[in-house]
Formats: sequence, structure tokens, C-alpha cells
Amino acid sequence: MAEDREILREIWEGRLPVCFTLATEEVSTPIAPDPFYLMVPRLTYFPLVTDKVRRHFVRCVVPEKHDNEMWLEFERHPLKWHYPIGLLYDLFVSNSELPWQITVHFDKYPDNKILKCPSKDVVESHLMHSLKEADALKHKNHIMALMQERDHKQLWLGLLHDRFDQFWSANRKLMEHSAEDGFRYIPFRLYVPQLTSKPFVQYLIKPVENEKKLVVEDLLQRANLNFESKGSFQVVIHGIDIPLETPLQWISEHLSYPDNFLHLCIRYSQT
Amino acid sequence: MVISAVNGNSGSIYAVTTEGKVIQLSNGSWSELNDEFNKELRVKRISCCSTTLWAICGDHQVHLRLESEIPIRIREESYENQRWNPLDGFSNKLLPTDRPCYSSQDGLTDRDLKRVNLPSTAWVWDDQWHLELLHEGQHLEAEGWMYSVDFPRAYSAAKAWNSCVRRRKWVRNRRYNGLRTWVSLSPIVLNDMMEPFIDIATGGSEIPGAVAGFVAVWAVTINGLLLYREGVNLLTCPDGSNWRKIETPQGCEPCQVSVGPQGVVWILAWNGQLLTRNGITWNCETGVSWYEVPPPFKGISFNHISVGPTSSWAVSRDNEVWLRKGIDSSILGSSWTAMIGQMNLVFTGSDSQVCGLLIQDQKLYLRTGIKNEESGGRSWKMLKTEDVTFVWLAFDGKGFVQRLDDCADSYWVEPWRGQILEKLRQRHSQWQDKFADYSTAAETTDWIKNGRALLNNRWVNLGLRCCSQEPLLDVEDLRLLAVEITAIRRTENLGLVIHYLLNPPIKLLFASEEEVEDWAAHLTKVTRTSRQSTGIFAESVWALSDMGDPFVHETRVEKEDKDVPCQIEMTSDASANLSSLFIHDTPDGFYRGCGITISGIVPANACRFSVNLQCGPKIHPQEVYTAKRDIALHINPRFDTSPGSVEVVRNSYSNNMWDIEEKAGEFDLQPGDRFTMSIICQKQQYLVKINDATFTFSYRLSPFSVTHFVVKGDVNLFDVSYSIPKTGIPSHALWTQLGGHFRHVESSSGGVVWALGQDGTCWIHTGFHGGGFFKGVFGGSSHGIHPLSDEGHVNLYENQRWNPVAGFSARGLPTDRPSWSDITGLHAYNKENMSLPNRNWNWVSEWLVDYHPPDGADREGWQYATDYPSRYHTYKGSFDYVRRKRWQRKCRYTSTGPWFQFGLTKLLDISMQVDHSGRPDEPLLLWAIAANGSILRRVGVTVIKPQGESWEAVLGEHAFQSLSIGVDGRVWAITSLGAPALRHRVTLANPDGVAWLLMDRPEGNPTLRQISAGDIQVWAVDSQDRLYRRKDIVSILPEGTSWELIDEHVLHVSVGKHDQVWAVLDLKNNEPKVKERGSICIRRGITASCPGGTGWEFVIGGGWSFVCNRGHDIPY
Repeated sequence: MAEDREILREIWEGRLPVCFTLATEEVSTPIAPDPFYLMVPRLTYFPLVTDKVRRHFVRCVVPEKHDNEMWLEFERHPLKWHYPIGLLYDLFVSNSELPWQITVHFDKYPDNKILKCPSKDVVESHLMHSLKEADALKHKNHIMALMQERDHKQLWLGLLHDRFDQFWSANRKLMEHSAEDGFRYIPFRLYVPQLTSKPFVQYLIKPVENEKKLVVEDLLQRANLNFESKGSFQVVIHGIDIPLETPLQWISEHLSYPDNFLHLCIRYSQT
Repeated sequence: MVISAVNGNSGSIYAVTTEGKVIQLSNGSWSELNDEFNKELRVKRISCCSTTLWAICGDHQVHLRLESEIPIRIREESYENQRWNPLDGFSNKLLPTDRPCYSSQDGLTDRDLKRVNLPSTAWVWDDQWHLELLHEGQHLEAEGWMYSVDFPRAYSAAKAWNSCVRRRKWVRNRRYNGLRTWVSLSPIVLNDMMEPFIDIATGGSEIPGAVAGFVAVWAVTINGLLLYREGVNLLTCPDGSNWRKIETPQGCEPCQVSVGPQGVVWILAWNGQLLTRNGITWNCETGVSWYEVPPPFKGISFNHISVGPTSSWAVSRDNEVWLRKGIDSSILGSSWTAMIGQMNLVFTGSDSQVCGLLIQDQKLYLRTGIKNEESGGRSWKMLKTEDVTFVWLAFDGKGFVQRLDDCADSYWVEPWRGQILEKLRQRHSQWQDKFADYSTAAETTDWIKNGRALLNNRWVNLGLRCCSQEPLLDVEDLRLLAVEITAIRRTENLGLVIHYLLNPPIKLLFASEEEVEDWAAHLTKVTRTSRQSTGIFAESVWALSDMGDPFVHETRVEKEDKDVPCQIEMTSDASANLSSLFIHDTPDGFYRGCGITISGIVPANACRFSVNLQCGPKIHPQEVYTAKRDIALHINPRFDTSPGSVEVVRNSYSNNMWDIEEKAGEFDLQPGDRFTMSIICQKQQYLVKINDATFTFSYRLSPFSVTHFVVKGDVNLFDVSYSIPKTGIPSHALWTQLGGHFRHVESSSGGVVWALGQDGTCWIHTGFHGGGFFKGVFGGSSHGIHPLSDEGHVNLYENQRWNPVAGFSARGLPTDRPSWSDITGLHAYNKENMSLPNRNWNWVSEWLVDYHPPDGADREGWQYATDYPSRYHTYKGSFDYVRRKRWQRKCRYTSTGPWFQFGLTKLLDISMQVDHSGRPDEPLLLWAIAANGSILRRVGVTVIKPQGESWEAVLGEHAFQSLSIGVDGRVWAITSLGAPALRHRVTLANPDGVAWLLMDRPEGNPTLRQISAGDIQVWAVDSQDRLYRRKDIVSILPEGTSWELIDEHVLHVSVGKHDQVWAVLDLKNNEPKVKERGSICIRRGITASCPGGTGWEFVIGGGWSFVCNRGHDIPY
């Protein structure tokens, strides 16, 4: 059970300062609009926090695009809305420069690269889907199935309104496990750069095997990706590199994103 | 429901290091228990129970140490008896059938003064034998004789013609001298050898029905003797009287013993067998027989055992840990469970928590995740202990593990966790300021909350709107602005009371406790936002609701003595136009921030005019030149004293006398001039402006006593206005709730606030706001918020009536109370439907018979009476037809709040001085009454160090129940018998003051229960809720003369530093605005000529139990 409130609170409080600018080619007014500065929670998704951004920029684009869906881009990477914001930052921003400079687009939605997100309901169903997937790994989907619709709403509203207690009052049930064995499998996604075939790797791993607690290092070894050969690297989540001796069970309980997945990014040291 | 106090104890953990030292974990760090006298003492094993530590030391003898600051004092009494005979008069020659010359009170035991000895070397005499000169509250003559016709009779102070016998009472106090030091117990000598001890165990403090302070102490010697220490009681006899040998079965010589908190005793025999003792109860402390506990499998033998409340832990010789569950329900327990992980020694605390010790690294491990339903816990976690290594442990773990969890990173030794937390914290710290002006993503400023609740048995819709303009609350059709709300108070049974400017308040009932908390938190947030309240202003009035929730009143006025910017409510009176006499009352008082502005013209032929701030009943225009009133400020411009110039005389009038005139200053005011005069009430003076000239006038009479003002003489007025600061009206200000559960809160200047829990634990306010159900509402900061717990009992009475057929039975008369009820008998409850006030409370025991209720009971716990409701007694008399039995169930409150706990000393009452300057480093007087009625004072309390350094005992003859420190170091107190007492001249140099001066009770000899003292105002409440005031206190006669009855139906009174009096009134009080029990009011009209005041000003309605204005700097 996730009991370390201090850590949970710190993770929840994670924020990123973002500077949004409208793509220059889309500016229709004589003077380009001012950039929009926003402090966004790391754990949430962009569509949940960019209403203000949209209102700010929409008046500066040609009227026929007013109803278009807004999308975001960083250094020519369209940002996937269904990734948590913190993950996007950890994935794409290598020099950790702040504020995070993001370009706002209303035109030419890159359908082939990112999903459409017509409303916040889509985010909600995406979150619920991820939670179910994670729960299937952790508890054979027992807990999500037993939870009431009300608890599901708590999870969603907690994230939407940035209310820690509301979210965790429901989420703690998802983090329960038997005393010694922990979860059935750890729900995680490992994002490895230059891995072109797929965006991330994922495989089954138990938190405890043969009465031995597995740690982050074990997880990396089983990926068979031979990281060490490419020089020194870090495992980054929530903007910090985590010690490789951290137990998987603990990290899964405490450092998972609200979708209950550990989104771990491999980052090689610059040479 | 009433939750009454218990003598609980908070957890502590003691460990024995490899070097034989004892160290204690407190406030996050290990500290050594110092002992000045026994520096060489090497401890081998210890066991602790509450505040006592029992140890076996290097000499293999038992040592005892009390970690308490409360002195244990026992009063030895002996009655000297004499009989009159015609030859000798009164003499020691008694009849053969008489009692001994020196005897106990009942005359049955001989109490010769020379033969009354100290029980052990740990005790010292505090004084010599002396006579007690008080008999039932009456003073006796110098020799202290009381007379009677014969033994045993009622005695009287006066000698009568038929007085044949007399007696007097000798008393002598002895004191236990072993506080905070090791005291060795006298050894057992067998065959000229001191028998070496090898193990010691304590427990049993929670045996159902045990007397307060009971501790069971068991020990084992090298020769396999099992010993029980008789007569141990923490409150009266910590060292007990003697060892009693307890037989063990042949071949089962014990090598270790362990005692659980409920008194369960297990022994481990040399042959590895486990035995448990059967039949231990509160009146059979050592039990009757042994049972063998079957091992988990044949061939296993154990090395170490420890008995907890519900399960026993055992370690086998190959270091496997086993758990025996269910020892609370059956004597042998139910089954064995093997635990993962090896340990050498295992120790349980009184609340089931478990610590382990591993020989390999000699480190401590704490078992985590132990809960009621999971007595085995989850895993072992190593505790951070620096470089110390351990050999033994004693552990009284109430609430201890929870506290460890909450300050996790200072204890746990998981390096990766520390690294992760550190890195997480660093993420923001570098850039936080740089981006501080970025707007936040979530739009939380404007929101609407809707819901439903029951109002007068009808479902109504609630709507709370928080927006930038005017936050408001809709209750069906009633619309309240958030600024009109004065308090949000939770009640039992899912209730929420919203107090606002009108009385009575709105009482809502919700469907679930979550909703109550959610609404309470949101309403509090909105009301505070609407009043722009930030933080907590501790130098204010504090109150407790019936539920024990603390509230602080936000009547703050600027701290600096500058012009108070008033949000002015104008009372402009057109009738003033060009009149030369003007009278106006000041209905809301006259205090800091209040002001009067007068504009007018001085006639050309003017001689004098005056402006008076007057006290007492409003003067009638016709008697304005004849009737006398006290005048707090008299401003009298005189144009006739010297031609061409004006003299402005300022003075005050009281006791039918003018005081000293002040007339300094130059004024530019001539007959024929227009002028504007303003008087503003500041912190210690009036600031007066006449046109451009200003002067001040220090307070002589309290400005608060001003009831009206008068302008008269040669003046024509245009306009008069009276202004009061809006925030200053007590009934308009907001009461803000904080997390916590208390029965007493004491505040003082400088913002030092102490509180006492129901169980007597001390808590100190951290200066922050939040905790409880406010988590997450106030920005989510957890700074200054700590876990908090409290303990209490819920009582239930079983009532029976006698009938000729069945004897006593539950069948009563139709008019009788229910067979299960509360103490009043008016409400039927039973064991099943008795619920706790809210979800912060949990049951921690089953229903148990209370064998020691306040008035005593027979061996089965019954109290008898002739009929309900009546006085109950302990035996069944011939005319007793009803009886009752008290059942108790213990409950515990857990929550969080802006309070920190320190020390384990349990207190009945505390008081801090009211006349502290507020300077941060100036010592502050703080006195307290310990649970046994003795007086303590706290050394080293300052504003910056509110917890002080240590307790010192103030020795004295009496036990007390209430105390209050007035001005000039005068400590007023109420003895446990209800008599008032005063101790003078407590100063920093003489911190104990001079001896107690016992005073007479008010007329009719009532039993006082609470007292509060300011400067010349000392007020007390008696057991019948009558309110008294001590008359005629002046600095040369600080004890005053007598008590004056002021009012009835008063629950609690508090007197502040400016002699302001606040009280909690009962429903039956005559004040018409009081419509509910527990209304908070201020005494009004207190003046020099009318020191008892004239009436009450209503502040807030019902549901309060306690108020403290002692830190309040505003003179009302």
C-alpha cells in the first residue's frame, strides 16, 4: 500500500513552467500575440489545462480555424496529448531548459502522428482504459471491476481539479496488495531513445521473485537492451533519476503516474 | 455523547545499548537517560510500563526508575484519641474497649507515630508530624481537638458539656525520592546469597477493572524462581512492597517471563516449554494455574517470548519468528503462524506494535503494517539509530508507530528513498521564484458546490458559491453572504451548525460524514477567504465546541499603536444640530479603534463646554447636571480662566472624586470659532484632536466601561458621529476551526497556546492553521501540522430494580429508566447502538465493567440506591431497590492538527500569566496541575520556546483541580475538595511564591470547580454552575474579602489580562439571547463602581463548552 504520503505529495506537486507561443505562420493579426505563461502539473494531460491557452490564442488565428482542434509541438515533435505532461517533458527536453517552450497550432493537425482529442471525455476514457490495463497487470483487473462508478469519478475529478486527497482516496485501493508478494506484475513502460520500432518497451515482471525483492536494475536487465554499451545512462521519471536499487514494488506504488503506470525514460548522458 | 477522560499514556521506546546504557527515542532522536547518582550502573534488561522502567543491572538485581516529573506524595495520618475522666480531665487513659491512643480514622489499627515508618529507602519524609487544624472546612483551635460524646461518632470543633472523648489528627507527608534516577530494590536473600535476577517483565495496566496506576511486575531468578511484585501502583507506590513466589510446575523452571497489557502472563521454561497463567483478573492479580501452550510442531523450542494485547510473539532457537494469535479471546490463543524473516529478540508494545532485534547487526527493526485485522503486520523495517548497537528493548508503543511513519525520513534507513525525496524537492527549488508569476493551470478560484441536507427534518438544497466578488451560501431560499457566517461547527450525528449574525444558527444534517467534513472544510475556506483571513492570530480568544474541536476567534486589531484604519459604521445624528446638549450611547462599547467625532461652533460668549465619556446607566437629559456617573474621559475647554487663551483640561471622575487634571498643550480655539474634535481609542490611551492640535490621555478607567457620551455647556453642535471598527464587534467576528481534540486551551500574550487533550496530554500550537478535515483545503501545506491523538471512555449504565420474585432484574417499573441508559437515564442506549461522535474516533476496547466508578461499587461493580435518581453507594442497604453498573469502552481519536506533543506528563489544568509583556525571550509563568492533583510549574517557557524546559514540582499540603495565574504572580486555585486558595508573589526570582493561603468558600459552602483570575477580577464557578466574583481585591489586599454571587447557570468563565470576563452560559441563564446550552457571552458594564458588571453581551450561540480570552489583547 502506498503509505509514504510525503513522497506522494511531492510527486503530486510536480509542476512545470511552460511558455506557449502561437506558430508564427498561423498568426493572422498584425501583431503576434504575447506568449502565454502557465504553470502546469506534471501529472496531468495537456487537454485538461490548456483551455486558457486556447482562449488566449484563438482570437489571433483566422476565423475559419477557430473551431479547429489545437495541438502542441516542441522542437518539431507533435506532443501526444495522451502522455502525461511530465513524461513528455522527460522524453523530449534533454537540456532541461525552463520555461518549456511549446508552439501552439490550430492548423494541419498531424493525424498520422497523434490521436484526436475532441473533448475532455476522451481523456477520461483514456485514463480509465490505462487504469484498467494497469489493474489487469497488478490484480487481474479485480479492483477496477469491484470499484464503483463513484470511485472512478473520484480518480478522474481528482486529477482534473488537481485534488490530491480526492484522487488518492480512490487510488489507494488500486495500490493495495498482499503482504509479502506485492503486485502480480509491475505496470510500467520503458521509453528508450533511438528505439525506432516502437515508442516503448513493456514486458511482464514481478516485484518479488523467489523471495527476492526485484529492483529497478533487475527491470533494466530483463529488457535485454544492453544499455551499458551505449555509455552511462539514467532512468528518469518525474524529472529525477532514480537510484537503481529502488525496489520495484515501492516505486510502482509511489512513483506511478495517475494512470498507474511507471513511465520510465532512459536518458543517456551527453558525450 | 460524553467522552470522559482516561489515564492513557503515549508511547515511548527505550533501548539498552551494548555498553549497558539506556537510551530513549523521543522527538525524533535518541537520547540517553542520565542518572547523576548511578553513573556506573550497567543495565542488562529493561521493561517499561507507562512511566516506570524496571531493569536488571550488572549486579543482577532489580532497579526501578520513574520517568515522571510529577511528585508522588503520600499523606500519613494518625488520630490521637483521648477520653475524659473526672480525675485527669482529658487524658490518654482510654477504656479497655476503646481504640488505641493513636489510631487510624476508624480506630481499628494502631498508628503510633513512632511506628509509622517509611515503606522503603526510596521514600523520604517531607516534613515532621504536625496537627491538621481544619475539620470539614472549619478552623480548629490551636491544639486541633475535635470533640464527641463517644467513639465512633460525628466530631465537632466545639466542646460541649457531654463531650467525653476527643481526638486530633496528626499528619505527615512522605515523598517518593526515585524520580529520574535508578533505585535499587532490596534483594532476596536465600542461603546467605543474594538471589540473582535474570528477567523482568511489566504489564497489566489494562487488566479490565484494574485500579488506576496498577502495574503487574514479574521477575525470574537464576534458580528458576518466578516472583510477583506485590502492591505496585504508579500513583501511590511505584516500588511495591515485596516479592511473592509463584509456583511453577515441576520441571518447568522459567528462564523468561512476559506480561501483556491485559495481564496475560507467559513464561518460557529452560526446557523450551511455554506456559500461560490462567485466572488473572483485577482482584486476583497472580492467577490460579498454569497451562501449557502447544508448540507449532514437536521439537521446536523457543528462545524468547513477548506478549502483546492480542497475540504473542516468540522466537525459536534457530531465530524463526512465530506469532500466536487470539490470546485475547482464549487463554491459549488459537494458532501459530510463522513470519518471514529472522530475528533474535522480539518485543511488543501495548498497542500490538512490534520491534525486533537482530544480533548480527544489533539494529532495531520495526514491524510495519500491524493492524487490528492483520496482527502479524507486513514486513520488518530497519530503524535509523546512528552508531548505537542494542542488546535489549522496552517498548510501550501507543501511537508510536504511527508517529514514526509520519516522520518517515528521519527514521527509515532506505537510502534510495532519501535520495528520491531529496531530488523531488530539488526539482522546484531552483526555479520556483523565477516563475512565481505564472498563472496556475487549474481554475480553482471560482467554483460552485451544491448539495443537499436536512434542515428541520426537510431536505433542502445547498449551494456554496466562491467567486471573486462576494462568496455566498444558499440554504434553500435563505441567502447568506460568507462574511455573515461567524462559525461552522460540527456536531454529533452528522450535523453541521452554521452560526451567522442572526440567532439561532442554521442546523443541517447530512447523509454521510464525508459530506459533513467536505462542507465544513469548504465553508471554512470560503468564510476565511471572504474575510481575507490569513494564518492564525493566536493572541485571541479560543474556544472549544462540545465535540472538543478548537476554534480561534478573529477579533484582531492592528498590533501597532497607530491610527486604526476603521471600516466605519457611521451613526450620525441630525438631532445634534445646533443643540448644546447631546447624549448618545455607545451600544457596542468603546474600545480600540472606536472613535467619536464632533463638529460645532463655540459661541462668542462661551465660558466652558465639556465632552465626557461616561460609564454606568445612560444619563437622562434632565439629570445631566445633577446625577453622578463615572467619567472615563472628561475634556473641558475653558475660555474663562485667562482672557484670550484657552485651557483644555482633561480628567477622569470616579468614586465621587475628580482625579488629577492634565492641561498641557497649546490650543488654537477661541469663542466664535468652528471646531472639529475627534477622540480615538488606542491601545493604552485616547488620542484627541482638536482642530490641528493633538494630545493623548492614558486610560484611567477601562475605556471598555464607557456606555455613553455627553457633550454639554457653551457649544453648538453641527454633527456628532460615533464609529466602531467593523472587525472589532465580537459577535461579528469569525471563529475558525483548527484540527485537534481538547478539553482545555490556554493562550497567553505573545501567542503561546497550550492545550490539554481529554486524556491530559499537553499539546502546543505551532502557529499554523489546518489539520483535521481541512487537509488539502488550505493550499495543501502540511507545514506545522502533526498527527494528533486523544483517548477517552464512553460510559453506559446498566440499571436494575429489585422485585420480590426475581431479586434484582432488568425488569423495572414502567416509569423507570431503560435497563441500559446513559448517566441521566433519559436516553436509552445499548452496547450495540452506542456510536462514536465521528469517524476520527475508533473503539479500542470491548465493553468492560468499571469496578471503580467515582463513588465506589461492590465487587461486581454495582452501585445501590433507594430509587432513581439518587445518590448511589457501594453496599446494598435494606431499602435499596435499584442498582446500576457502569460499563466503559475505551475509544481513541486520531487526526492531525497544528499542534505538537511533548512529554508524557498528564495534566488536569494549566494556566499562564496574563500580564506577560509579549517579548520573545522573557520567561513566561506557566503552572499546571498534574493528574494526581499536585502543582507543577514549567521552567523556561518563552514565546520562542513555548514548550519550556522541564517541570518542577511546587510542594504543598493540598491537591488541586483548577488554577489560574492572575496579575503580579498571584496564583489562584481550587483544591480538589472545592475550596479556593491563593499563592502570592510568584516571581522569576522566587518561582514558588509563598505558601498557599486557604480561603473561605462562598456563602452556603458550595464546592467550587473552576477559577479564573485577571488583575482585580477573580471569578469562579461552583459545582451547581453558579458564578462568583471575589470582592475587594486591591494590591495591598490581594486575597480580597469575600465572594459575591453574580449569576447562575454558567458553565465556564475566563478572565483576561484587562479584567475582561468571558463565559459560557447554560440554557437556563436569564440572558434572553441565550437560547441554547453553551452560548459564549462577555460580561458587560464592569466599572470601578460596579465591578460585577451589569449583564451579558451575547457573542455566539450554543454548543460550546470552553472559552479562553487570557491571551486576548483587546479590552473586552
